[in-house]
Amino acid sequence: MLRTFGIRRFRGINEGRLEDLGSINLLVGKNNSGKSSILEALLLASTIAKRHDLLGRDVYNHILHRRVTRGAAHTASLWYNYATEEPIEFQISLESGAQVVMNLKPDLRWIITYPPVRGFAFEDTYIKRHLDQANYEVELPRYGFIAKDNFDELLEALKSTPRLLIDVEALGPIKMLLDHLANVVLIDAGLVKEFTRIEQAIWPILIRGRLDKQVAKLISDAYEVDVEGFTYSQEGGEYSLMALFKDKSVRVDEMGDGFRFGFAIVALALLGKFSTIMLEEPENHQHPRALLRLAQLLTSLTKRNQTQLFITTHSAEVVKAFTSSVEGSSHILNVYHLNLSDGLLKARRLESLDISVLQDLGFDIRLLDLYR
Amino acid sequence: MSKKTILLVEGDTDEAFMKPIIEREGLSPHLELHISHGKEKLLDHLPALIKTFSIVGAAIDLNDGDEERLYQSVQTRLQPKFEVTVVQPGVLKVDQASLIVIPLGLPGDQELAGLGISRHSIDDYILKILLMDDRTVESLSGGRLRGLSLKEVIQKQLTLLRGQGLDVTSSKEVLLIAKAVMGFRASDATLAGEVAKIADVSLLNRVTSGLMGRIHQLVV
Repeated sequence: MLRTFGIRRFRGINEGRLEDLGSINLLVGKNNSGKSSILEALLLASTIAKRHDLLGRDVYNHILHRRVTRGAAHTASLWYNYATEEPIEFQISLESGAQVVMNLKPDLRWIITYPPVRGFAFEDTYIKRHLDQANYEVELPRYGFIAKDNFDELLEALKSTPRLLIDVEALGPIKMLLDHLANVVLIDAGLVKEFTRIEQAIWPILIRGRLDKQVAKLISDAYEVDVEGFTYSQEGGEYSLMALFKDKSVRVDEMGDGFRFGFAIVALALLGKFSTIMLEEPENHQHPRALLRLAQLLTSLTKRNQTQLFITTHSAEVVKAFTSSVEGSSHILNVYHLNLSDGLLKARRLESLDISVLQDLGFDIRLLDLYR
Repeated sequence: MSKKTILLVEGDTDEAFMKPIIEREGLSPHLELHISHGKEKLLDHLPALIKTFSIVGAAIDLNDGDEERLYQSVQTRLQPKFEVTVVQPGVLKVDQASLIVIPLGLPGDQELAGLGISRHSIDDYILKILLMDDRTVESLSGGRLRGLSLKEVIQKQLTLLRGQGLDVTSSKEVLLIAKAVMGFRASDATLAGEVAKIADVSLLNRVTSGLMGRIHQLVV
């Protein structure tokens, strides 16, 4: 789990930091307060471990293009004020306390620095990975390059390099970070439009072991329908996921937006072993009852799968749904109230107990910037 | 748009009395009242507000009239969770936030003391105004008292009650008698709001000068 996430020179954020992250983190604030940028930053950070997500999406291109409504998207649009002279920087600290700094250069080369690394040969050397290449490399002044297809192999190569005076074990947290970032997913409104991707990624896991029954039960409960199961069948010359009702079957991609978005959340959360699930504005198309059920499901899965949640929202219903879903549990729910001014991101952190008090007193958690 | 300051109050009567005065003073764009429903809850609510906002006001009944004891009780309650330093009496620096404690009541008022009032709250201001402002009493009673002095009627009732061994020590209790005498059948909060709205402004200002001084300190 990530404990802090710092961002420099990314999108509208010149400098910002989320401290004391919990297992469930709600990001609230007015438009252009940096909510989506934080999700995109985490997603971009995941490309150091994996270029494509579970759904087969090219994550880097998805980030680059998801805000573009006309013309071509440029790499520089990811940089604060389009100023690519200095790298985008993410500072991440893990639950273990280890801190890792990641830099992305305009040539799409990631560079990781990790403070505890010591050794004369390693002093000015960093671990690098180009987004278009699978391999990780280390440049050692006296040994030249060591490049390997994955980080485990790189560690092994470093261990077996003679007279290399570095503590290779100290690179363990980087390995932990890469494992964590390899399992990050963003569920946004755009995903519903690409429902075929969800179907294709999910159906083998869904149908195998009849996990569809479990998803059907959760979906039925949330949306007050009587789905008995799901199947993947040929309809009109192409395969598609069908929801099975008592007396009929309906293509899931023909169901309403709310149902499909809910299905995507339930299925991905239940079937994917994600380290991090990011939800962008889950209130879209959702009835409050469905929101509450989704919040309860995600909260329980967070514990079961050790998943960390990041959720952006403009909805008081979403805040309430998650606040009530963690009541009486050991979950750490934080609400970060964001304010972005001249590139400086300020995040006011509220814990679940504080949120309950503020809600009892009649405050709208989304509007805290109205007060001193 | 300027940002608002939060003032936490104990109950409906506090809000009903203070709100019209705050509006008249032109402070409502800068101040927002929230009700905790009791002193204990108010003290429970304070930590969340202190963590969230940079300045918080808390209007609390003085009860026995000892301001220092009130400030100390708030400080004691917060100290386990926060770093608390006293800036001046009633003004605390709590971690990064400022907390201004506004004591409610008129413990030094001789007229109220003469009625045997020793437990103090927002009701002190309401009662004091009713004792001094015949026009307000006439308006609230619909002329029912017809030349009788509210104070004298209350004193007689208190003598009767005390003669029966019933101790009356707070303005809240005395206001119940006043309401009965005036034939005012709405809630205590409604009475508080009406008094704040229709009382003679110069009298109101005089009676609430200490309270309003603290409130102004909050929005500076």
